[in-house]
Amino acid sequence: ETIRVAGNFATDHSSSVAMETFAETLTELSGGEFEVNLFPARQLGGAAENVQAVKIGAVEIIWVGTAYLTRTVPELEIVGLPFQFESREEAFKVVDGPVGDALDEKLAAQDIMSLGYMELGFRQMTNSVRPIETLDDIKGLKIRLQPNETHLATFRSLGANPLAMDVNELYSALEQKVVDGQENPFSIIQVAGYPEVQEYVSNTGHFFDFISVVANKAWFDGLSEEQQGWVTEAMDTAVAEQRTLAAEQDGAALDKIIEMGMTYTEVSPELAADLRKTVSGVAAETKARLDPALVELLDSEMSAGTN
Amino acid sequence: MNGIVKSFLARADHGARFIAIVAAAIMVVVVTAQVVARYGFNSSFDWADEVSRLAFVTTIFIAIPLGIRDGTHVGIDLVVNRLPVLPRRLIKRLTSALAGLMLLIITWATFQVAGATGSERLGAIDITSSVFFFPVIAGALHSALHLLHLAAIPEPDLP
Amino acid sequence: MSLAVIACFFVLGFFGMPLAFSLGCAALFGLWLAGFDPSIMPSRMMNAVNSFPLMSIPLFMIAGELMLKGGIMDRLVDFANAFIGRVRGGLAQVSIIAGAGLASVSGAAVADASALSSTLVPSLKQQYGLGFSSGVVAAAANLGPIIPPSGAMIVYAFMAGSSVSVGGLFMAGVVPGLILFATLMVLCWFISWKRDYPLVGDGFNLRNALRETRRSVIVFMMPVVVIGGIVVGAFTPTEGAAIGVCYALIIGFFVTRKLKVSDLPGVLLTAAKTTAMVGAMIAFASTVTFLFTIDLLPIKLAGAIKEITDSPLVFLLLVALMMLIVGMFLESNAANIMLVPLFHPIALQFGIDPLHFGFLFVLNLVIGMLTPPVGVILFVVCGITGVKMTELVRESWPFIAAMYGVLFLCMLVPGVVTALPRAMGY
Ligand code: NA
Ligand code: NA
Repeated sequence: ETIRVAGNFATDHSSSVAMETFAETLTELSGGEFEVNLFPARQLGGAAENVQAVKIGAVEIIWVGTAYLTRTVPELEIVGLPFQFESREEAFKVVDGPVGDALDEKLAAQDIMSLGYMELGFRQMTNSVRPIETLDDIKGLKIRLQPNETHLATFRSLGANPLAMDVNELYSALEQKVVDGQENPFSIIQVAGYPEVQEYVSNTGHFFDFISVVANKAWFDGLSEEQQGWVTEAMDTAVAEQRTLAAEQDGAALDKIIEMGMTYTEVSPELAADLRKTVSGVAAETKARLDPALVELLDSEMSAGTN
Repeated sequence: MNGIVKSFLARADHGARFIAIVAAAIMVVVVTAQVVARYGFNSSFDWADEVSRLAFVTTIFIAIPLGIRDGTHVGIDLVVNRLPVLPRRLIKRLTSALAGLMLLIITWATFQVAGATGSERLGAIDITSSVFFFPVIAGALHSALHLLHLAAIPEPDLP
Repeated sequence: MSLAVIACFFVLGFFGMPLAFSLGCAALFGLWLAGFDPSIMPSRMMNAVNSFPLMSIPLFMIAGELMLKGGIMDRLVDFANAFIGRVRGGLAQVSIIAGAGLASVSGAAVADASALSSTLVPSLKQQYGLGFSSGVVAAAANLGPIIPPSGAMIVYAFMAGSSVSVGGLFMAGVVPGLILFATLMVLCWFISWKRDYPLVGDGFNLRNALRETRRSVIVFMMPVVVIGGIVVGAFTPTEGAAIGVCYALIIGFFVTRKLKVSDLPGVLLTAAKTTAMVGAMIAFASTVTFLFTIDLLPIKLAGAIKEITDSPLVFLLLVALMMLIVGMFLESNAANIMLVPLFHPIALQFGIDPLHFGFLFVLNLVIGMLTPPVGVILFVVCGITGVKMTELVRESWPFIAAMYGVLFLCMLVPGVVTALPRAMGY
């Protein structure tokens, strides 16, 4: 049987590399019963289209920024709040725990089977106007964001001018200074070549983004128990590998970004505190929109983590 | 019967023309307004990107049926035109029927997809993301009707 | 499966089904063969055209229609007339100059072709007959997507991703565009001389020339604003196209005063219909592309090409040959959408400069608009002037040959294409 797996990250992104591991491992585990065709780098369309494709079974599995699934399951926003996680370990503890299980159920109700969470990473701000040293430095900057309500509200509360724009247009828009800045994880910033057209970078880490690996539920349910076991085991191997790789690449990417000529300004503890204080209302607003039981579960998890 | 179908199609064409004109105008106005807002007022509209894309998708799919009768949609008629009148008519009716059937299947499939994505929300404006499929449904159905009409009752003045 | 899809498309197209619908039927057939749900199709179709960069296509069409209604063509013709004076084939030369002028303000060959054939052919045909006149305007219209701005280049850059920028591709078109312009001028003179067309037109008169220059400055400011704005970075290409619409509105309402508010719905409707024709091709073609990708055709194709040759030049010739064949059956924007993802990565593997390849690709597409049996420009010109297709094709071939000459020059001497954009830092 041939399994088609689609994604929209570049071929050398850690997630695409890990999916190759998935392909090899699954073929091996199944003794050649499964063959995996990988279609990374938007070969079968962009993120929103990949989500539709997996829903209708055009492809069996996709890996996609979790933000793109919030259109289907808004509750996923619960793990995409501004300044929610201190570290990647803390972030993964939440999605691997009871909160993750609850989210998987919500996905299953939409005929999507969650196979695990990879790291997209902490989102960091870059711009071509000035280094971000105080809250005032963010004010008035035209920043390209993903079209996501929480993201837009976060930057609006910081006094920036958020713009939604097709990612295909972003590079030339930055180059031509149509927009002042953008925000992405270090590894994406480096691979997409934004250091060529941007001056300043900071470790604002305002969101932690996950990559969801999801399968068409009807297809997965149609597999035998043994086959399901192979798929899950192969994907667990791939996800574990990706998390290690992503953490390594994140640090290396920042070094490369600096090497490529960007000015790096580390966020001071004062600025970090200011940022959190300014956007705290946004997180509360988003939580108010979501299932209260889930919010409660998250809050108890998070406080358990800090104790 | 033919009269009823004809007058129905004429009305549908009239409505489609109106929507296509409005959608094209929205596209121009919104994209221009975005530039003006950015330079004139140093601000921008979250909804501009989505609204202009929706207008673009609407322009295309709503205007597709309008080109069927005018023959705007390019095709190769060098071969068919060399045939005598009878087989030429028959082939024209057959290809119209086949294309009409294809578009009916697409209409039905688009209904399914719009239903399946009905729960998704757009990013910047809070409506269902399946609105992008509405013009596809309308355009495919309208085109199918034109083509099936051409198949059932071919144009008498076919050259 | 890919072969079955291609065969289905060819058979239906051969029997006269509009090509967009032939693509649709072939796609549906392919989905059925591969055991897929037909609901993939609406998803692909809608997403293929749900794109901000592609919106430049209708905007450039609207701008073109407005320029036609607003009498901008008349100014360009008067300007060209004042400079050409009394030479062989003078009016044909005027058409080529007007075409180049129009190309510098418009981004779509289809809009250019309708503007040129409706304004110029009535006077051209009195001296050269309908056939040659139509051939001249068809060739002049093809300058549209080569001289910036260019809708085809925007689509190419969009499909090729970050290695090709719109501004760079625009600049790549300048020198070859001027060479092609000069070639077409010489060709018009040569044919007129051989066929002994009469000498017409008034002699050159400096005062008249200056007067016409002053009158058309406002028109030639448009490329400065639109292309300049895109190259310098004041706005994205799609926004540039919208600015072009506004500029054309201002000229039409306040400078030439030939545009009426009651013209606007008609302009928008015409542009919407042409956009729908192009959009239908793009939408239906996208499902075919999906099937090709699923069938691993890009990988197979890359392997096959590398088996045949490891020379970049041979690869470029193969692509040109392939595009000649594809151009017989596909509208150029649809071909852009379908073929860039196939060929662009292979070109990079061959070490070809992305701008060089991008320009050659666009030039190939543009030539395809002028080649039978499916040449959009041919259809538009026939539709407006009433010339017979066979006659137009007969009169067009010298121009097509000239375009291939420029294509081979650009292929052999990459500097013609890349020197300007690279010097500008792209
Ligand atoms: Na042009
Ligand atoms: Na052609």
